[in-house]
Amino acid sequence: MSNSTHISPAAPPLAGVRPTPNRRSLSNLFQPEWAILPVLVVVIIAGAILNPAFLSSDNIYGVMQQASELGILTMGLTLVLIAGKFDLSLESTFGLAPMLGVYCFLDVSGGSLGLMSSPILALLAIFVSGALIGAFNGVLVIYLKFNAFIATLATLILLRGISLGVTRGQTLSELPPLLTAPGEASIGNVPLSFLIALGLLAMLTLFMSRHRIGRMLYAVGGNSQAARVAGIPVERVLMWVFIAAGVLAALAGLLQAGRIASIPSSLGQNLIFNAFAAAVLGGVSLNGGRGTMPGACGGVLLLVLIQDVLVLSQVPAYWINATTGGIILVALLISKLSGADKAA
Amino acid sequence: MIPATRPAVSSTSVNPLAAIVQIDRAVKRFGETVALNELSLTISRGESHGLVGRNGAGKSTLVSVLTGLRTIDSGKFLVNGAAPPVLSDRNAWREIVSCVYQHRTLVPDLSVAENLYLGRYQGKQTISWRALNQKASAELDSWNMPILPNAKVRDLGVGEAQMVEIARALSQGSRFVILDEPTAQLIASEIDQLILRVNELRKRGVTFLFISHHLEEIPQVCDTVTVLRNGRDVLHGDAQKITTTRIVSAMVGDEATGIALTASEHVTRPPLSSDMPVVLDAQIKAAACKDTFHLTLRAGEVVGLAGHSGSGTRHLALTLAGHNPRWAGQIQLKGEKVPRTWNPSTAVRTGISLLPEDRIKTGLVGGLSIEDNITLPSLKTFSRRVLIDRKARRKFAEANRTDLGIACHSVTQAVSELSGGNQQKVLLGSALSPNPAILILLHPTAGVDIASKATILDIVERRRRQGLAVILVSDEPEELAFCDRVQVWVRGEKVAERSGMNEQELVAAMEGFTLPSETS
Repeated sequence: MSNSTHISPAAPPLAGVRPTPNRRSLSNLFQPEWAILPVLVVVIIAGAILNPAFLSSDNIYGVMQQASELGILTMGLTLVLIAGKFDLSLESTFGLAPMLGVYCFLDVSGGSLGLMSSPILALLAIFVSGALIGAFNGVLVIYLKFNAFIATLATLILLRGISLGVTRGQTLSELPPLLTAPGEASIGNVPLSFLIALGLLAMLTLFMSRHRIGRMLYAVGGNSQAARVAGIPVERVLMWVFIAAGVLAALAGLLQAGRIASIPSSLGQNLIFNAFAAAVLGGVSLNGGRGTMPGACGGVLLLVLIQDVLVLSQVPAYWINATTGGIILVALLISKLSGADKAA
Repeated sequence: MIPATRPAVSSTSVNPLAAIVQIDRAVKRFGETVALNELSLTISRGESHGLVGRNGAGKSTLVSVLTGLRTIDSGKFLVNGAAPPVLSDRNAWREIVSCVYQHRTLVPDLSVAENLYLGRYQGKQTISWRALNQKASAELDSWNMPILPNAKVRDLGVGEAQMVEIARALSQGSRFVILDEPTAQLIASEIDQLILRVNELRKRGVTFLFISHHLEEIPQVCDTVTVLRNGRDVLHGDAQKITTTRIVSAMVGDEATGIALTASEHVTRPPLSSDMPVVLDAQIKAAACKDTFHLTLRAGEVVGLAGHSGSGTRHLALTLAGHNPRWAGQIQLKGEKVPRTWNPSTAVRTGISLLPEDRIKTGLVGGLSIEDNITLPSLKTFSRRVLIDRKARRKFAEANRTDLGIACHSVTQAVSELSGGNQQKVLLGSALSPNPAILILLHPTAGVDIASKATILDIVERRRRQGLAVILVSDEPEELAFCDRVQVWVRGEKVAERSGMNEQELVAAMEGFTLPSETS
């Protein structure tokens, strides 16, 4: 069976009634991740009406950058959520991984180990620390079987504390171009970070729908016992998910650090709640086994646009958070009532 | 606590002469299925009544009627000589009857006393722990149960926990207790304890309905015994006088006697040629089993592991499939010893597939499509370079759909939308998709409609002819009829291993009883 790559699809010898393609693409429109589309359109129209600056290229550029950072973090979280687990500490990884890389291998103002100065090593170290932190969370949750919520809450606090402790609350600045470019550079009028996010979205979408590990993730999250019976090495698969999420969070952190050209010890603080909200708005189930990458990214776009519209409509800064929270609840309610969302 | 919902009928108005339960020609249907078919049963006050019957004989339906969870469609049903309370009046029912189920209904992290009076705390706003414990202590003492009221239920043995369940039933005022397979999870010494206790409570006027799969317990506990078959009471008599042989033939029915299993209608199989290769040679020492498990399995052979829950057969099968990390013994698969780190993933990869018994809980991923579920164990074979070859995968799924006769709109339909029989077919397709050498089936046709049953066994038989070796774990003679030979296990002991057992011998052996004419 292994070499039957190109069999004519027109001649299925045993097949019964084949599904009509129309039916499938039509039913796809009713998948939970698409329920967000009309809401997105409404927000964009509202934004354009409320303030003409909404459609200005500067504003769109900023939205793209923010959406990329939150989007990459959310894609990492979505991997973990689809596999039926949880990782709150991703926002701390978002801050700590870039900080560790820079602190260890660069000599910048704000604090440094002062051993050597190599931007390439620093870049590498950022991803390696992301992976190691992910692996550490994985061991806690998968092998030591700690409750994912409480274990990653602990690492959330722990890692943030390390960020603070290492630099004594200082901000690392004067980053070399190699580290700021991903978050700051642009190609034409499009930020590089947005292209990176789009590339990742395409890759992960393909991975989740067409790679065998991607399909396994849905099975593990949907019913881990059944996945085990089917011979899937559940623990090993989950470890890779935590590691991948850590690396993605590190990348997202690097992009934001590049955009603001510095690494404060609070980098990424409170971002995980936005990531959760975006994922759930985009149809990712907190119970595992359900959700898609495009859906989650739709959620990200919605969230970033809402916040942008609020800022542009001059909602007092102190009320932005409360308004965002309220709007998330309304969006959840709409998707619940429309029956598109069976998860949340 | 809502006042005034309880009518004034309670223990005071009970007629002491009337039978506790009187059922006359009761009928209960579920759609096409007749669960109770003109069943008659009388349980007198103070007796201990045995109820036996095979799976599907109507025991569970009868229990649900007796405990006021269901009404009968027609026939007469009197409780204490009067019409039973309405179903919604749970308090009235609780005073009449209580049932101790196989699964525990106690809260493990609360104390014995709390469990006894859960939801029935009396007194003022606050709970007086001392009073509660004293009350519990008095209650337990009055039934001569040596259990500490402040012990946590989690720390109790299975037998002790059962005592607490009985005590709770009695403290609610009911003097009629249904024990639903109380000995299934117990070890021998606990069974003796339970029997002793039941007999003692009987002397104090408690009425029991004792449901068991272990026939040797019936004369030890019961005064009378009723045998159910197909929703009917087919035998009724003095438990001390009636012979186990008669009980067994009543359970099996006249129509089935004398049919050798290997010659049943499913299978007319030529004897296995001796040159078929040995695919599995296992010796497993399981903690739950007194006997070491030995099995040599040839390609194309079907071996049954027969036994009720608690017999150890399921545990052994799961060990073979790699689901028991702390196993002891030796497994040789196709002539090669499997590693100590034997796990499901290695097992599937090297050729042992498992069809688990609870398809929703452990078998299928409900939210995923038929296609996803069927190809889950074999995704690797569909991977081309990096991605899955969707055409090949779809083709495989469609072939399975036709082959297994899965009724669905499309293979992209979620399996949670399918009927039980179709889900089981998907599960079978999934287990067979990596092309295993050995297929382990746990109760493969339980809860499946008749047509699907036949298809499922048919598919397995077709694969068997191509050399698939099968291990079938079951307690259903119809399923076991499919086997070339059967090992019968009772409470961790192998009691028989033969081919050509007839249904009666098999049922008797699983009930822990050897028919007098047979020596195995």
